[in-house]
Amino acid sequence: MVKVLTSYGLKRISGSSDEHAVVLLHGIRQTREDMERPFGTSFTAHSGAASVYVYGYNHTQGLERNGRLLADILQSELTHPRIDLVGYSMGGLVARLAASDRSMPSIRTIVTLATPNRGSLSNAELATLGQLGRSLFALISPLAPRTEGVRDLTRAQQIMSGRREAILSSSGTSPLAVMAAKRYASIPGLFYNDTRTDFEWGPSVGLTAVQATFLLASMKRRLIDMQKPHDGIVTESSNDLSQSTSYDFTEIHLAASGPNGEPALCHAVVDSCKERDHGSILEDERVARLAWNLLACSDWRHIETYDPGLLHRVRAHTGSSPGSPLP
Amino acid sequence: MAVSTPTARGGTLPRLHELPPFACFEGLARDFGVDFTLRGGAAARAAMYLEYRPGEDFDLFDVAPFTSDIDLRHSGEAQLTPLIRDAIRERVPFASWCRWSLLDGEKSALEQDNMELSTRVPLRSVHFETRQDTPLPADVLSDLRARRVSVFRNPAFSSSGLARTDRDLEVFGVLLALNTLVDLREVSGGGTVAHWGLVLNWLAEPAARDQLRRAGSSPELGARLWHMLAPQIARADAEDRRWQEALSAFLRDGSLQQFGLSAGAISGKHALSVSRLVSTGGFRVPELLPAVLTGTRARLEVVAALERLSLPFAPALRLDPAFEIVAFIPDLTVVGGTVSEEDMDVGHYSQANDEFLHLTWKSRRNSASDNVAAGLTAVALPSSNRQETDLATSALAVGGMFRSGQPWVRLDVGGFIGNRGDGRRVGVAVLRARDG
Repeated sequence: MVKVLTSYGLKRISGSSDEHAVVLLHGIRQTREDMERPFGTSFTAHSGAASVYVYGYNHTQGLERNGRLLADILQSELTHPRIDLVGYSMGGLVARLAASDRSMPSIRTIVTLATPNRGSLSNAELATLGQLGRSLFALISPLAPRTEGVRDLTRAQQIMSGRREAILSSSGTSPLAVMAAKRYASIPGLFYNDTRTDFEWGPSVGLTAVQATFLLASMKRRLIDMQKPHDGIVTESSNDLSQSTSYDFTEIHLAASGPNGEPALCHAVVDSCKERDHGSILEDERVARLAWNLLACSDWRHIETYDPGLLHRVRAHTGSSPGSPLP
Repeated sequence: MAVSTPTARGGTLPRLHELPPFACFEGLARDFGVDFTLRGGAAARAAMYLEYRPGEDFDLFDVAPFTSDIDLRHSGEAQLTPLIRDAIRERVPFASWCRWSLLDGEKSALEQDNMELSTRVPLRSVHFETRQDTPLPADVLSDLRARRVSVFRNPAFSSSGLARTDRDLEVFGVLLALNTLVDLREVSGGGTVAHWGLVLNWLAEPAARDQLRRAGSSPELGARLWHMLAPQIARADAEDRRWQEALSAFLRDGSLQQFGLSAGAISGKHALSVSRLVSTGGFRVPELLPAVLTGTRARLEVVAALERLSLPFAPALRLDPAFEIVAFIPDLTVVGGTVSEEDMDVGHYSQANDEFLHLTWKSRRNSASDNVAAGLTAVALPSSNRQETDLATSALAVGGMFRSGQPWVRLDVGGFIGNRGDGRRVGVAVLRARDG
């Protein structure tokens, strides 16, 4: 029987803590069920008592609208004093916009997984995203280029810059209160790196023989042309929240270091990221474990040694935090 | 980026890259050391948006809806063309969902020579350049302000290269004017042809009827006729007697009989398909008047198709809840086999080499609200071979809605076409993103 799903909103998949909630957000062309398995299963193996939710949203709607809706739902449905967000791909942008929509001190950490954090998708990346079939996306879900959700992916940089401006110009108490005690991390997929030949394909491409015959030429060209390393859709430089350029002014740069200098920005890589492309990164148990560690570790200067089970497997760059601690 | 209207600049059009959908062309011009010029229907529609809807956002699909190409010229050498084409596909947002015709400097000069000898429709002569603002000629400006489509026959038409090689017919000038009229009404909400009487007399001339009979025996001319006529049939005002009379003139004398179309067959149908001419002398998708299911029947058929295509012992195919099914075209043929460079797009006389299927149909929904139009897309489903589901569902698609509320969809069928001539059979499910 074909299922037509209508699953938006929060769904608890693990834990019963009243103190700590974690919300997992899917990407474009997905539903919350796609985030529940396999990523959610791997993640909850490490998350202990924390209440873990998957959150479904209409990815064809605009990023800001989805961010605001999530903020509304978090505010009205979750009473946990600490809430963390883990967003995959587009879900990372929605998480960032929810976290900065208003002053919500309960939101602490935002982890973005294979998210184009510092750039906007080009036509080539959009076309690749649209052409990856059900081997990556289990749904029948064509990319609809005129929807706000897709259009926003081509202007993500402006949207995030606009959010920063909105925070700075807000007439509330302290604009920076919106960003108080928030911290941001990124995890990339790095399958397409300099050790690969031009003939190697990431696990989630998984083309059938028929597809391969017709699609490989154009897709291959696009993948080769992208700046390595990347995951087939998002480059590491776009994902990396710890770096900034002179023209890079977004809301994350208002996040302040902790009272003891704990960094507010971190880009973390586990060794298996090298084997993962945009779709298959959700299947990686180590990536899920790293995502949890980023939430659990209070000082990212120690993230590389935080988990003995991932010792010597994690590398991280912490970003300087232009913002200063609030008094 | 702010968009200024032509009138606000004293009768000049802004530079191409000042139009938001073409913003990337400033960088492309700089990187390749060339100038770009946007011409044809896309340029005319962009000018209309600037004139009649000042300050309103428009996207690439507003200026190139349904079957419309994007006609570009660049000032460089021919060897730059494939590199520029790749760069457009890399950098211009949503370029892969459109057909691009790209002419180098030499071919542009040839095209310009042909245009000088062709029927003149002032509103279609509009162009945008990256190099400079473009002053509007007086006849263009007066037509724009009067919401009027003038058409001027060219006594030298028969001496043009295209006419001498039987690749163009003078009577097609009428369709150019009518297509401009349909765009004018689409964008501005009104408009008329300057001299309907002269147009109808032209169509009644023995020479015009002879030209249409020639179109009836030439696949290339017939294909071009269908490409120009289909948008008219889809959008012409049914209450406009003169317009309907003009369209009837194009359909008499069996001008489309070679494709199995008679005037009577067309008038009774509510769906049209347009695709590229292939070397067999027919269309890539030969079903020009396909059956289209809507409403509950469409939903049931799509659900049944997904069930049929689900693999045993694998998760059932799921439809994304972000979309609802609005129509289903159950069985279309995509003819296989590639088209040689020499034959490239003789049906269009452009250099666009993309393979899109365009569909439009009458819808009971009469709302052309932006939300509904923006959310239209489509997905192809194999008619039988479930092994091809991944291939079919990876086809890029976009849709929109004409002012009348009639939907259109453009689906990239290039991925289905191999060197084999056996073709494929697919259904097309038209989906709309749910609002909320």
